[in-house]
Amino acid sequence: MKLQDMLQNQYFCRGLAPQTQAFLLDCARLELFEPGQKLLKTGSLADEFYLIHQGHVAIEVIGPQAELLQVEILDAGDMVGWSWLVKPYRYQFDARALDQVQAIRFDARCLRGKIETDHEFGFHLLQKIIEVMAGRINHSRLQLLDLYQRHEAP
Amino acid sequence: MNRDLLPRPFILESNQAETPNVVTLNLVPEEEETFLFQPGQFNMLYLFGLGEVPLSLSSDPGQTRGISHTLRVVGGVTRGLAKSLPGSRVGVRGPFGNPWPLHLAKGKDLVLLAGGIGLAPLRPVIYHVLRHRQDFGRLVVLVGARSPEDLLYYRSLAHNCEQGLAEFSVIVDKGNPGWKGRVGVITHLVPKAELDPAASLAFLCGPEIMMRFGAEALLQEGLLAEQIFVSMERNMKCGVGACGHCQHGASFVCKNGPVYSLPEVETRWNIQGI
Repeated sequence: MKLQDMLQNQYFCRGLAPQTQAFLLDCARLELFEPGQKLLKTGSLADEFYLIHQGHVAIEVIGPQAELLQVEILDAGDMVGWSWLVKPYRYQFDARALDQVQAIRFDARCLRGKIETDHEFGFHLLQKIIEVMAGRINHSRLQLLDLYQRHEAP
Repeated sequence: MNRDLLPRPFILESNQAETPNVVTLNLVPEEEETFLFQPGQFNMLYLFGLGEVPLSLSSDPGQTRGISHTLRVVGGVTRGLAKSLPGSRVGVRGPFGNPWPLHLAKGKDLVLLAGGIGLAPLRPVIYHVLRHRQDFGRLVVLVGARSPEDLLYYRSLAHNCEQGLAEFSVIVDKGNPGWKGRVGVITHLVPKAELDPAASLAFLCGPEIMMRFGAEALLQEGLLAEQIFVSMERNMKCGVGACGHCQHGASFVCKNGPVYSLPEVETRWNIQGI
């Protein structure tokens, strides 16, 4: 499958104008990750983000007992990484491939440059990314609510 | 005496641990030949000397000899039931309540959204659809649980998925080192299911807050409120709408529910204290 088709089929690209997708494609390339390989590393410079085409990616953090905690597991159609949009452009979490992962990698410097010069492109892209971010914040809030907690009853 | 208020004796044939604190009780009637029920209905189970609890039927409605109830140990009666030995006698009243509207789902895709123990009242729906597979479109089962250890009926659901009879997706709030599935919340699974909103019906069961956000995710995918049904849980006592313990607004969950269409309950979901 061509990169262009892969991008077009992504959930993220639904509703994005062909021209916006073409702009994205200019900064995109396909990358493969082996199980255990990191896509993003906490504290490192946020110079890319990914759309997963195939496979599973764990968002991880070291917990209070120095244990590795999986905050979320993402899969095909999900976006990985938004620190590239927020200063100081450093990743806050690790992202690790759980199996063989195929992902579309976006060069953040390239995209930030395009956003600076073409505000309309930036507006449409940010609208999409905010949609993803809002979804993730809602998911995190629901996780905090502990939906399946056990109540005492008869 | 009203027959609905009189417990009938059932014998506990076997019990199986589903998770560390969830047990399935397999019961057979002591006197009657058969026990008929529809998916979504519940019974009152009476542990003599301890008390009665409402429990959804979780067995195959096409299997009329015996019934199953999957329960979570949350108090004295459920603890007693879970510890009962095969051969014990249990009182059963029911079945009570209205069923899932499977007649409306004929020819359509059916989406089941289950959280935690909420999968138990939906399991008879799965059995029914598998028995009448040609009458339905896709069977999409989306399950959320606290942890991988809390997942119910995992093997049998995964088996149906492998056979191509159902699509089964699972997500847990918190994974463990061996967990290779998804981590997150159940609403995350809804857009992934790629539903055809015009041709789908959704049944939700789980904690109310989960159903509220699950319904919201389905609405965002284009389903109408009328296409979404939920199973409510309240403190059912009499089972016939007489005692008022399970009142929810102007409705008695034991008699008018437990299954409601979303428009029937959604306005009450956001009222504190109801």
